[in-house]
Amino acid sequence: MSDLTLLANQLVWGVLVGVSYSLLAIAFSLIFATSGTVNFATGEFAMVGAYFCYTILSKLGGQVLLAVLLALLGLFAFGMVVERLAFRRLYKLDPILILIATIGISTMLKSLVLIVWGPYSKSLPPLLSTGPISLGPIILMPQNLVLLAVGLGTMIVFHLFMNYTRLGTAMRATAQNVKGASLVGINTARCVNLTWAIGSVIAGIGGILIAFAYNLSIDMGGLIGMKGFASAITGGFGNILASTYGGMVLGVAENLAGGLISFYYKDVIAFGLVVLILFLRPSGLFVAPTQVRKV
Amino acid sequence: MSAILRDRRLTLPAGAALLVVLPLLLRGQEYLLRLCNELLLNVVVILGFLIILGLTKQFSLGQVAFYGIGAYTVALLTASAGWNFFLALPVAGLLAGALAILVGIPCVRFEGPWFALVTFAFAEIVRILMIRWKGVTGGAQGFYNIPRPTLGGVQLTGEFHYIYLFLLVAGVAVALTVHLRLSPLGRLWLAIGDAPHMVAAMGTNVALHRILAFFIGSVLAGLAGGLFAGYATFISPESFTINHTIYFLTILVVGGLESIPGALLSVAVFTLLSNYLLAFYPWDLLLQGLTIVLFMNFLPRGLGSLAARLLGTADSQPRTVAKKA
Repeated sequence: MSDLTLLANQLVWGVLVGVSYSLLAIAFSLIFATSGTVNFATGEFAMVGAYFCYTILSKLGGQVLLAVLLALLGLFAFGMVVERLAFRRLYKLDPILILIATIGISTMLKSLVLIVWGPYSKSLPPLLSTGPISLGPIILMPQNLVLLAVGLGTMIVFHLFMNYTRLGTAMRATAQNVKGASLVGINTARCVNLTWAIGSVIAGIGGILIAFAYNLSIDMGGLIGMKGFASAITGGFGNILASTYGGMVLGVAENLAGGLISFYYKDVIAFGLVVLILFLRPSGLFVAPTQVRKV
Repeated sequence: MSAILRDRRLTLPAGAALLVVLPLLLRGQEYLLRLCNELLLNVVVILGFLIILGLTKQFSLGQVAFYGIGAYTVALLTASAGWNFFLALPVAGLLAGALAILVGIPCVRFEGPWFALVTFAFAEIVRILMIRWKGVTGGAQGFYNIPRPTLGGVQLTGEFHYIYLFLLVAGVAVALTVHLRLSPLGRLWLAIGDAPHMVAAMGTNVALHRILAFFIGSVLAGLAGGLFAGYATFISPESFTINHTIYFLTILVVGGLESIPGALLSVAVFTLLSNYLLAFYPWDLLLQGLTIVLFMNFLPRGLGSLAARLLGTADSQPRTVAKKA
């Protein structure tokens, strides 16, 4: 394979991984918007979703769509329960306490996955049995195109939901001003609860995409979680469209670096890039540089 | 007699004398001495973490990286470059501190959890380098045969020899942290932790103070790592993962984030428990996570506040900070 072909294939792969990062970035931004905290357990939510999917799929055998839907339904309920039990009491306290509690949740989920599913990595069965298509120098797996479509579709549906439904509007109002939203009759506690549930589902879709593209392991949660957060920062934290672009940039950048420099240093390069962006353009690449509060 | 007991001037010499005598009583009891040594190492790390997370409320998710950098620095300088341990140790602390400044520069000015991301990323980079930079670090197999410290021709060998070295460093760490906590600087740092914008509005350079606190806390972590390398004589990337940061975090949370007596109590409890807890892996991780969540929900200022409430001394309610509307 020539260098150019390698580059092209890494680029395609990067876009696919980038979509998953974007979904996690959206989950980060959504929960941050309504509850004022970064949920460091987002990656673990994604991982739990992927493992749910794995187990249901092995029980149902073959009915992928149903398995994914059931896994996401489980994750929706799971997000609600976690918010209600672990975070409801904390919003009036110092934000750092919520942050610490999310680390507690992420640790619990990581060890639960280890206890329930064991330490060895697992893989999901292939979605399609068709072989790779070659488009000139680029070799495409049809499965990856499906995954890409699902990722992009999720983003579009989420965008429509947030902007064109009553519930989405109520959520945006809650995110902007909790007191104001409750004054106009929005049940803000319920809205916050639902954003955790929806955020978990979106993160879960990201996790399932990654699981189909690579495999499942207990370390995936921490890594894709931080990549998702890093994507949100790369694009512009809190801005959902910018976070989406951020995920793409990060996915492509780390895969190009992995292909050109070294696979082992992929994560080093990705995190290094984020720190550099934070240093040079803290508001993110795709947001006007005025919105970050500094001390 | 009671007047003598109450004389504050005697506290320090009496305490020091007690610390010199106590290990003598434990001489020969290798297991107890080992526990004490572990305890003292943990005290140094936790107090460093307390300065960062407890006082200035900077959520470092990478404390283990500075601990690891200290350990590898001492290993490299003593084993590969032939330095004396006591020369390598301060270098290890300062290197960890210098890297903390570099890590802090991009993120200390921002509100929010950026700091946590950058420190996490840093720790991940450090861990990958420990594994991949085989020629220098020994890779995943670890770094063997780190020489034991020698002082004036005498080599430290048994647990008993180490305890005085560790007592000295931990004692300095406790004294430094207590002094900081009670000094105007420490109060300023607490204020920065609670309300950075108000402090900034009064003309204080908040970013500079955050970096300074991060520097001091990381120097302590680096020193503890260096001591660990000279004590264990073997280190590997396995000892420096995110799970260790979580372990430190759990200890600090149980202690109450900013309470020094609480942190010391919590370190003692966890060091005693840790040997039993390890047998329950991975349930011990679950328990740590659950502990963090429960404490945040029901006792956010930890054992420190519980003690204060029982004694009726200090404010035991969580401080609530006004969030933006």
